[in-house]
Amino acid sequence: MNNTFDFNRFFLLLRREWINFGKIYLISLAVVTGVIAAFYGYNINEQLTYGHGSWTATLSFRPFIFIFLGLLFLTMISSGYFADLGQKPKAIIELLIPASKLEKFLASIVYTVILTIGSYFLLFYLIDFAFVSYIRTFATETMSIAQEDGTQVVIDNIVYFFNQPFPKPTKFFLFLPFLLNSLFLLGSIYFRNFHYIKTAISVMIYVACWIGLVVFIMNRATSDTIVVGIGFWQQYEINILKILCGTGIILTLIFWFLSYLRLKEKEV
Amino acid sequence: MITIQNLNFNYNKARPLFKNMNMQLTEGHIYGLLGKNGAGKSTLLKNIAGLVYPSAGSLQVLGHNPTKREPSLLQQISFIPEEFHLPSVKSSTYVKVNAPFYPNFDHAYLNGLLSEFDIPIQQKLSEMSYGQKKKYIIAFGLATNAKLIIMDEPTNGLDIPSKAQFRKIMASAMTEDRCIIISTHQVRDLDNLIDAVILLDEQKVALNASIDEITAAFTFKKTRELDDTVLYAEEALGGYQVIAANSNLEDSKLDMELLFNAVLAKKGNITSILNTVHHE
Repeated sequence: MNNTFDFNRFFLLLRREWINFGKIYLISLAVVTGVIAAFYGYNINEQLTYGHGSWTATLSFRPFIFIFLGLLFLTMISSGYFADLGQKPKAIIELLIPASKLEKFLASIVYTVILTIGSYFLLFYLIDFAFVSYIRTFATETMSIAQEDGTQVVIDNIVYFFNQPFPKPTKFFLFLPFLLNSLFLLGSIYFRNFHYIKTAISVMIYVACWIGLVVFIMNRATSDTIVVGIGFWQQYEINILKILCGTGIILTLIFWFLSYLRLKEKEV
Repeated sequence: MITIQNLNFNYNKARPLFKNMNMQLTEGHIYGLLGKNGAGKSTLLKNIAGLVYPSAGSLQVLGHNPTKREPSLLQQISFIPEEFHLPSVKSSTYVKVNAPFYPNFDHAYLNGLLSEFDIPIQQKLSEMSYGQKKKYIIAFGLATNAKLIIMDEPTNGLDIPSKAQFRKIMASAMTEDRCIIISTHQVRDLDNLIDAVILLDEQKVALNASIDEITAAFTFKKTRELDDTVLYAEEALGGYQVIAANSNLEDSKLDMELLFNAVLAKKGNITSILNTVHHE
């Protein structure tokens, strides 16, 4: 028998974990659906009732709600996944289920990363599609732009969220949901109770310490100097966003590994 | 089946729970694990199941190191904890998602046990009473056909008829290749069920002997007066309950409560006599 990984056992584990995870996940998903729909409904209703501004401005809430609600949903789901291990009556049964530690860890990744992020994207896409399609049935908001060769291009401003161009640095922040997942997954194993609050506070303290340290070092290093050249944000080839992204990916892998180790060493 | 060598364990470094503990448990027995509150009964069971890690020493269960929690070992262990949680699903769902992990799971046996325990299987598990939940988890644990069954205070919360059913079911569940360990402080619940006693005291195994060995070495009886053969006595109605050396090879029924008190009070005397008789 393979004691490290077995596909059959892994699928059995996924099916079993759904009993514990599924209910919380589906309730959270329903709440998220309600919140997104409420934002769309409220903003569209405001525009239809009072007609201030443009539809473009009306839909400008979307990036904020997409990012913040998404990260909140992801972190809450991740923070709850291993929470049972903090409770003795549940932990004994969970730890003694005949599946390997790797399978148990990978099951957490399947549910908290693949399913949670995937379903959030799909949910947001469907809600956005429904509301924007509704707006497009009675409103148009286009503008024409003349290109260098003289041809006119018509731009439609009532556009689906995922069809609009995202700012260039966006791709450098794609690691963020994964990093937060790894942190909150670790927190759900590490802490015995109040996992979300304790993890959030720990992360804030760490981030504050690092920011303070960086500001202190930079202040010391750049005192009595003046700025020359362009800001680092514009130095596209060696810009800090790449370093940030790389660090984020490495930290994500480290925290996932630590979560695995913590799961391996978990005692009741 | 289980070999414990020089096991050391502590929750707090200043107060070790086990110090150089040694013990060997073999298949084909139902062991009763006894000890005072805080003696480490539950902790020893957790060590055997790999739920906690010893600070030193070695522990082998079915040839595995339990701390590795390998699936091949876990599918041969059925642990019925004192406190447990059952999800808010019906029995059919619970069995569907949990039973496939145990290759020898016997569905017909489970159904038989559930009906014998009179468990309302149409009800959600979380809505059952504590006693019903306990009986359910015992039935599921036995139906896994695991080689090692570990039970921590299994009779807590069971009513009187259920305790009798429990004893009957446990006796019938015993097979030659199985080892059952039952930890309890309600020694009367283990009457006529266990065939070996393990007693923990002062960070060690104070006694590990079969019922036959104990009753061969000692006689348990009621007397009006105490004489030189009496090793331990407790006042009782109209005389004394005593443990005496069994020099005349009398048959007597083990009084576990008396033995428990005797081992704790005599600190080593009972065990040394037992070892002497055993070696003779």
